[in-house]
Amino acid sequence: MRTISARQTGIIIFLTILANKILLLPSIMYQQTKADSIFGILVIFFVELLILSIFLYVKLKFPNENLQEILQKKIGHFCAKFIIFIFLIFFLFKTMLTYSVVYVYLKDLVYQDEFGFLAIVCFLPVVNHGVICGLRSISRTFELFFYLVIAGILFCFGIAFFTEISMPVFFTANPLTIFNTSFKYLFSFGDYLVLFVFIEKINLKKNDVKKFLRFVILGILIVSSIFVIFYAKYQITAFMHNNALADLLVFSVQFNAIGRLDIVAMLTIMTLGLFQLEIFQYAFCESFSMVFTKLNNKFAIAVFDILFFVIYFILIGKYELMINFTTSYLCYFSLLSNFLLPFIIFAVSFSKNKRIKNKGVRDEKSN
Amino acid sequence: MKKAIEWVKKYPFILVLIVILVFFTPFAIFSPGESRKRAIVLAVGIDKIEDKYEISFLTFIPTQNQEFTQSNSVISGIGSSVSEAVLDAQLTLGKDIGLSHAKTTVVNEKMLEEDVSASIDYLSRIASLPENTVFICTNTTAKELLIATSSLEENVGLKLDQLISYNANEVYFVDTSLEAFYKGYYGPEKSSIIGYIEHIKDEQSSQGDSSSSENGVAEQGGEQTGQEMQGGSASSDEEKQRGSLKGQSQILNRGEAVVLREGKQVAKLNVDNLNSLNLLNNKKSMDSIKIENVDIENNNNVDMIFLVKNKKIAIKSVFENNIPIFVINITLGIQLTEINAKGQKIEKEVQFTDINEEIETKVQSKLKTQFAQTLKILRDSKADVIGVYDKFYRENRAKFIKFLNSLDNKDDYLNNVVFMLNLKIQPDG
Repeated sequence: MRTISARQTGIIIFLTILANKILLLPSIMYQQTKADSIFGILVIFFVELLILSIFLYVKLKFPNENLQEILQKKIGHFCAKFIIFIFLIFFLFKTMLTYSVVYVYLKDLVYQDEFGFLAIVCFLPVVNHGVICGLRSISRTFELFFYLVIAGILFCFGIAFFTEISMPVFFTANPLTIFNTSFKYLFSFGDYLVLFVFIEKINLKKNDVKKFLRFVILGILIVSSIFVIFYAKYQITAFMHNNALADLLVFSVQFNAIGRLDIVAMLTIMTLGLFQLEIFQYAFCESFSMVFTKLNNKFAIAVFDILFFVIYFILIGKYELMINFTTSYLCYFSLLSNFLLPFIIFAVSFSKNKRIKNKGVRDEKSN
Repeated sequence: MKKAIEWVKKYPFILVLIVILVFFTPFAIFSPGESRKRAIVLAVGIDKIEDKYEISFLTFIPTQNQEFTQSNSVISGIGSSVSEAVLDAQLTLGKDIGLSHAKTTVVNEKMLEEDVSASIDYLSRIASLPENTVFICTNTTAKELLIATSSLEENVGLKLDQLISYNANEVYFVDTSLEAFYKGYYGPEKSSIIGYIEHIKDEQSSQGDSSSSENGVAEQGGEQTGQEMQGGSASSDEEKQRGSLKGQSQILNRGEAVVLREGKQVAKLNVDNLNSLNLLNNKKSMDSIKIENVDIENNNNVDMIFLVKNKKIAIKSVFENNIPIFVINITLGIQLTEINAKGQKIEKEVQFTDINEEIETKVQSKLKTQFAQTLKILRDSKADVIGVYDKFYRENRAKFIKFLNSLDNKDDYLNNVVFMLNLKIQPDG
């Protein structure tokens, strides 16, 4: 089996941590909780670290088994498939949300006219190709782009400091509002779920955990920094700017003569968006293969493309509706997928451990 | 052939690449250039004529030439809303409007009698419009100003956005972009400041403009003859004289600014007002201070001009007996740049390195008087463009909210805040 290293796993997690959080989220959260949105995302990040520790526990305990095998032994064939099916739905909508957010950005700043069909025609073949090539190819390709993406993000940060910024005003929203808002946008999180889906393909030893965690911390720091700098730059008008990372790059009047350097943000966002879509579609296809064991990966890709096209274009129709759908309904689903399922997986792996232990004790007694 | 098919089977994405090339290459080659479909807008002007809006675009037309000149035109459209006016302008032009390079938004001063945000709402919803677009107003119509600047660019080579950028960097003490306007508009202060450019037109060009305005046709900037740029603080007589020159219209950049509250004009600030507010601006240090009747070598009729070379500002908000006090401590490093002894010879103390007590008192007195005058304007118009609310809210939030609640009119807080301006003058270097 082709596995990925701890560093490549870290890079994938870096991608998923940044997914859906660096463009639209700071702006729409600001409408409800102003600059206190930062506390909301920090709390979710903190809670999600528990999910990450569950993953590490499961991975270190079952280094070579896939999710289906781990679950199937304890809770049976049907329940295991049901849990993985929930993952499948999660990744289907996660891909749609990621696509919507990137599409909004491209439509606002590059194409201006509706170009949904053209965008999908351009995006899907590239994403499908990535998925066919496999996880290792995706992660290794992004390794090449990783430092370019980091440089792009830092460039945006750097330019933001040349413009008028001041410390955001904190503690204006009450904790309940912060909690409600964070809950509403919960679907944008669930960053570590991808790891469960291809757990067997990750080559992670106990010594590698630190290396892996560095990328997690980097991702969290970058997202938090984008929130802080974006609010520091725009303050009260943050709600008017839908593309946080790109809007950091907008110059002040003093730079009026330079022209537009937002091509840097554009390339960074497009690179990130493409790889994020590849990761989420790959996770979908892996889940699909585990649920429908008789169907191969290419069939999974075809099903994904059809579902994507039908749900996104025919049923949902507009990216605004997609984003509203995630905040109105999928936030409840996120409770199940982001938190409950990892805890079930943890309970299953933990109880199995106990069972083995008891079995061991019985063996000792019989001896 | 069989080998080729097997090779394609082995690398199916080569096939995808070929398909993409076959489909897209002819489109790319035979589709017309983007400049044919889209007009590059450099500045946007909005006017309100009775119930209708007229939107004017200063557009750049890419043309092949061997000179480094840029051909600009002003295109306008009329409609019952700004978006309808934009469509009308597009119809006139036969192109879509691309606002990504629009650096300036101009409105007619009369539009500021009502909440201007309603008129520029269309622009705020266009993500491609850069946030650093400068928002200014003018005394004539925005269209006339754009026509004048178009000609200015062709004749003098000076661009409107360069002029505005100079003002933004050297004259105004706050950001005057469209973004800054909205920050002030949506903020608790409800106040913002925008630039003011005066346009003096002669009757001849005025008639020409109004006729074209009715038709909404495109005008070539170069057709307006003899328009010229006049900068600095010209006296009113000089302006009249210039204005009366046949066939000439002028743009007068006197560094003025308009104060808006809830989107309406409440005051106008001149250069002196802005200079006094610039005392609070760390970035702005090149102010000049003129003091009169200084006693040097027994000649008490000497005028001295100093240049502010550096500035240290410390602003804090304090409460004493529940009264909010806005304390401004400023240390100015000044340098003598000119002496006008009005015909008398100054022989000994030509190079001044020390600031004596008289000079310090006079400089302090002058700056404090100017600041007080400006503050009065702001207090009368209830326009907090200094950031008093923000300072108190950040540093003494509980006390400030209590103070606001104690007021009959919360918007009138500026009149109830005490200002303390402490100036320390020292020679630069």
